[in-house]
Amino acid sequence: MIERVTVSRGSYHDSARLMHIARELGAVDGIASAEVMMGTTANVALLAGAGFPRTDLETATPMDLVVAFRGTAAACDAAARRLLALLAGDAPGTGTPGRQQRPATVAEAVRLSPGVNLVSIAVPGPYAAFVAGRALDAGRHVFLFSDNVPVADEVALKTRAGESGLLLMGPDCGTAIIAGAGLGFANRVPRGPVGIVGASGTGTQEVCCLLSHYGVGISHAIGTGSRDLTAAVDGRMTAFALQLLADDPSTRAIVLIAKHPAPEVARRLHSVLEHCGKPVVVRYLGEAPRPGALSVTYADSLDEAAELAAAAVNHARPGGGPRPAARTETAGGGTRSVSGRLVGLFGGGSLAAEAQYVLSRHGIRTVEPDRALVPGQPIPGEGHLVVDTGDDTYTVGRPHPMVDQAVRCGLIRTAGIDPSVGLILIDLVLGDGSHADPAPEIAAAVREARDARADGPLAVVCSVCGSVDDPQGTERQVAVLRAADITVTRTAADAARTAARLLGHAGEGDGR
Amino acid sequence: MTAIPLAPVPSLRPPARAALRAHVRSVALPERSTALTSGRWPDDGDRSGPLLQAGLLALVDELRRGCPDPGALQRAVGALTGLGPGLTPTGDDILVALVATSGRLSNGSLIGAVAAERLSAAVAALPAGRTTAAAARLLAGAVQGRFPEPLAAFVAALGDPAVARETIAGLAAQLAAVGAHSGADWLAATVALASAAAPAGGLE
Repeated sequence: MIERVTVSRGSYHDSARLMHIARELGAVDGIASAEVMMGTTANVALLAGAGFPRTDLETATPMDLVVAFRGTAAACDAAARRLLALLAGDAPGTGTPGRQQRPATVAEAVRLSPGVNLVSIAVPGPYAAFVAGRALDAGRHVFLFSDNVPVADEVALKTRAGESGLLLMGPDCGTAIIAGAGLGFANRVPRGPVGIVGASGTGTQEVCCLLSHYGVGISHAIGTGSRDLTAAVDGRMTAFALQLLADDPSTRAIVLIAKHPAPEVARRLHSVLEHCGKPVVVRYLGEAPRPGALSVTYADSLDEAAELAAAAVNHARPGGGPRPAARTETAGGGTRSVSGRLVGLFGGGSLAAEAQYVLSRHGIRTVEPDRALVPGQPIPGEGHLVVDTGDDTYTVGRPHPMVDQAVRCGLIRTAGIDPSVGLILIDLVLGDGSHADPAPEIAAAVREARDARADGPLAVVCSVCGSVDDPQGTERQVAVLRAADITVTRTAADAARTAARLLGHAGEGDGR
Repeated sequence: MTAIPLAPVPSLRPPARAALRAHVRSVALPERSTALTSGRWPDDGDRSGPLLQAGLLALVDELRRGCPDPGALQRAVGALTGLGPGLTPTGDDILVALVATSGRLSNGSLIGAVAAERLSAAVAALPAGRTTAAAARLLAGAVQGRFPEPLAAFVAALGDPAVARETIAGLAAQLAAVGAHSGADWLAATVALASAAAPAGGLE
């Protein structure tokens, strides 16, 4: 029997992965024990006390992964090889090394692929700033999907990125399309003349899809992270991204999308927008349009923003005339009036804000529930509700609802059974990164809710954000929803307008 | 999975001993929690298991006795931090849960207020660099009274006479489902301290 210790620098994996690695190494023939731990003081002392070589252990820090195994010499060699394969991302249980080279650090990745100019980061929040810093060290742009990054780290990273002429997209950046390459959750849309700067993930996705529907492509869609327009972050990356698009010869018009910007940041950005030399359309979600300027127009909704951008690059909207309720079905639930509460169960936070705003314009006041909705428990309160099920409250221990719909489907069943609920408003966001086939699950939940309902109709309105080329098959997703008697619209705003009509609030502007 | 947001334990009704006892009985512990509290580890359990169990029981005993010796308390806390498997080592998960639970139970005098304060101070006094960044964040939140939301929700309801046993069982199940083992570790530590504070056969 011999003992062997491997210290993997700056290597961190979630606990489930660590347990998997320990099990895999323990299963290697001839290995008597295998320990996989972070290199904390206590764990190093524990392993040293168990007889593992102290000299190897002493180099470990809490940021390092320590793997210690005991067995025959041949088994330890085999376990070491297996460990390398596991750390490189080998599929569980295959027993063979991964075919693709998987670097363990940003520096290693850059060394292996010197031509790469952007690093996409999705690690737990406490580590994200460290990794993003290494990417900036290497002179690469950063797409930072991670959330729960301290705001001070965000400001420091963005300041540094701006000084280096690099993009720092994020943290909490859900989507971007850079030169045709989608990052995070992204729809497959053609390249074209409109550039987007978005502090709003699903808002950006919806505008991308609408523009592609109008035959207009995207030059770049630059995500900035949901906090970029707060007073603390001061629009640092938004201003930088706007400048990049202003200088980009392939971009002829710009759309800026954000949610509730800080007033002083919005004022400062307005001046930047006025001087960027290209037509700009702005949609600040959840609020009425501000006064514009010669080349700057503030839109009242995402669909209006997309139309204005399409017009700015000289593409007429298909069909022309007043805005169509593009996919709204007038058969089935679309024409019936309903009574009762509206419950909005959104997967996209930006789309939830958009729907709330449109509903308020129709005189329908929605409230945030005083506690999180739980499948199987009564829907709280008495009024209309709109909930973002992508909020942290609903995603603890599970993926985002754009990937895992279990909670949302449970809430659909719960809300549908509740006799006080007359209408459910939902969204479906397609594209790379999203659920592979979401519509059948939603349709099944709606059918179950209706089957279990004692009496009274249940209307369901769903906006579908997707392009013709998205992997889920947008048309098929829409067909599945329609077959379940769900009214389908192309945008969250249209879904909210449809819901307002069904509830007997026909006139936009009622709520102003 | 989204990183877990931190929240304070809401200040509701103080816990009552009889309700606490009933609540503890209604919690179904997952296998890992049972192993932590009973020491019955599976054959392939990790090497740190017995140390974690000993550390948990020692700290619970210190808290039950009112933490008369701050030095002993500091040593017990120091022995747990950074110990065990996971990105947030189990020892740190135990400390976070005990800070939350002792604070809650001291509100009803089921654990001494001084003991709860001394535990929090001992955690705050841990030297930097002894554990992972993720665990350090959790510990820093705990000494400021902020805990992972499922843990805060469970602890807030624990011992509240107005909270039904079914509700507690549901909250415990939600807690146990968090992460690979953090939720089960939080649950184990919380139930261990609650059991010690309201032992079966004690005065109602």
